[in-house]
Amino acid sequence: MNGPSVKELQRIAREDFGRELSDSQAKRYSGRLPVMRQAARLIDEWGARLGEIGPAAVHRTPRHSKDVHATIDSRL
Amino acid sequence: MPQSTLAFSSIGDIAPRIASGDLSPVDVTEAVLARVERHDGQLNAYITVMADSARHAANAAESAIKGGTYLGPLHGVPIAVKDLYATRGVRTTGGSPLFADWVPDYDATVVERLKRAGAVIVGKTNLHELAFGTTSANPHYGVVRNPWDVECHPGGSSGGSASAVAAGLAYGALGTDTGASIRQPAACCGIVGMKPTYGRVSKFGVLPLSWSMDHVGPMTRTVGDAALMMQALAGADSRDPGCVSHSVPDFSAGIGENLRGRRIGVARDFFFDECDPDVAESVEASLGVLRDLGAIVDDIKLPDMHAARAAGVVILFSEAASYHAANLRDRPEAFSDEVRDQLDMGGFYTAVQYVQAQRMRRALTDETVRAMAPYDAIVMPTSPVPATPITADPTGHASLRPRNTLPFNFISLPVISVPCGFTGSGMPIGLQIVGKAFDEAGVFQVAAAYEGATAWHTQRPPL
Repeated sequence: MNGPSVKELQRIAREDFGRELSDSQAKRYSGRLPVMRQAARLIDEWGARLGEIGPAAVHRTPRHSKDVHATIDSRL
Repeated sequence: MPQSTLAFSSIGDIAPRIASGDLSPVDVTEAVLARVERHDGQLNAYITVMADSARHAANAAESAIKGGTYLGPLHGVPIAVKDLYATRGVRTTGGSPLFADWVPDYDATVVERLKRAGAVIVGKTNLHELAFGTTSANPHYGVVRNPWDVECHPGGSSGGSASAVAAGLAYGALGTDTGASIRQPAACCGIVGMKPTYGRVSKFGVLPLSWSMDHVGPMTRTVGDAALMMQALAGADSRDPGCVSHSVPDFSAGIGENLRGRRIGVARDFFFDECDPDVAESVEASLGVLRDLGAIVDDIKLPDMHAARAAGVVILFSEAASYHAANLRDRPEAFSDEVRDQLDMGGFYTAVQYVQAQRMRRALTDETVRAMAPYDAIVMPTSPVPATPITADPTGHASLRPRNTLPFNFISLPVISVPCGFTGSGMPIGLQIVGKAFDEAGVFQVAAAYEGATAWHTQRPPL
């Protein structure tokens, strides 16, 4: 098998994400887990460089009630 | 004109003929429905074909135009809608069993706008399950096939829209794009796909994948047609809090103008890494075309795109895990293994990492805007890899397919993919053109000039 072993994947999940994976989960996640670790580590490295920079805007200023469309989803 | 020729005409070609009464929307719609009847059994591009309502809308368009009411270039033109958009009275599945029986009582804003522009909605297109993937191999509604080689995937997640437009089963289609899903399938199927600036087009009524990464846009066979569709789609919408109230320009204004003196940057770092040789060769050749058109083409150094991609993935997966958390807990059997695993893993990232990713987004967006200031546009391959066989996806392609597109969902800039060549095995290749925020018109200008100097968009799949 190419790539990390099941034990190695389980170690990544434990050390980088605080998760305990079964053997079958580790196998299923094998394609993405190393990439996720890389992304998480890159983000952690960037933390020190961000200084006073705040997050990109994802919160929206409240609007007048007539414009509000959000309701509890009844689709399901 | 034979029905197959008519079905492959551009919107720009048929619109004046429909307006003048020379061409009937009924004939146009029948030409498309005939191709759907003939080819969709093989392509599986549609989940729901709306033949009856399409015929009704085409008849209504014909009557209106004969009566002197012409609504514009989409009037009487058959358009497909990805099955992620709410359509009043028509099942909207999201490509998932979760929504198999959902019949909305409202239209998504952009569907409403297409109808208001007189478009004939021909059906709802197949997609990667919940728009969370790039092959459109949907385990619930069937595998979508690429008309250039039906053994290959069409890209995704808007694979049904791409396959339908490429095969002449619609004149244009709505796609959505969270990391690749308009541009990469457009590249795979040899058509045009436009992801506008975040906020330019309303997302109200679109099933979310990742609220801050999702974009809505058109997929067409020509750049001009994409601009025509954008004209109908864009504009403020109070029902989408992310939609801006900027004025909507004439997106076609620059089409036909030359590129003399335009400065175009080539983003080589990151975007050309691990490129399929045919892709790299086609994109290099396209740079020569842009130079021949008078553009000044030189290399541009962008900020850290590895970081942009990593942070974009964290945001996308975290938001997707949030949206689907309740269903993942209560109805895990309604997800394929692939999508359930991705959503499970989205929950691995911490809240701190998500917020750090949004802080990186602000920093990297500002840096990219600064780097792009001297340029009119930047270019790179849409995807480093072309479509591959459905049953033999090469190792690593799942992460390579969206690699070049996802950073621009993260940074929110307008981007188009246009056909720029074929691989040795005959699969289409896309050139990605990125513009400045809210300068979709500038992107269309560069793309149209390139398209006008090449013949890639005139090639038809061997169906």
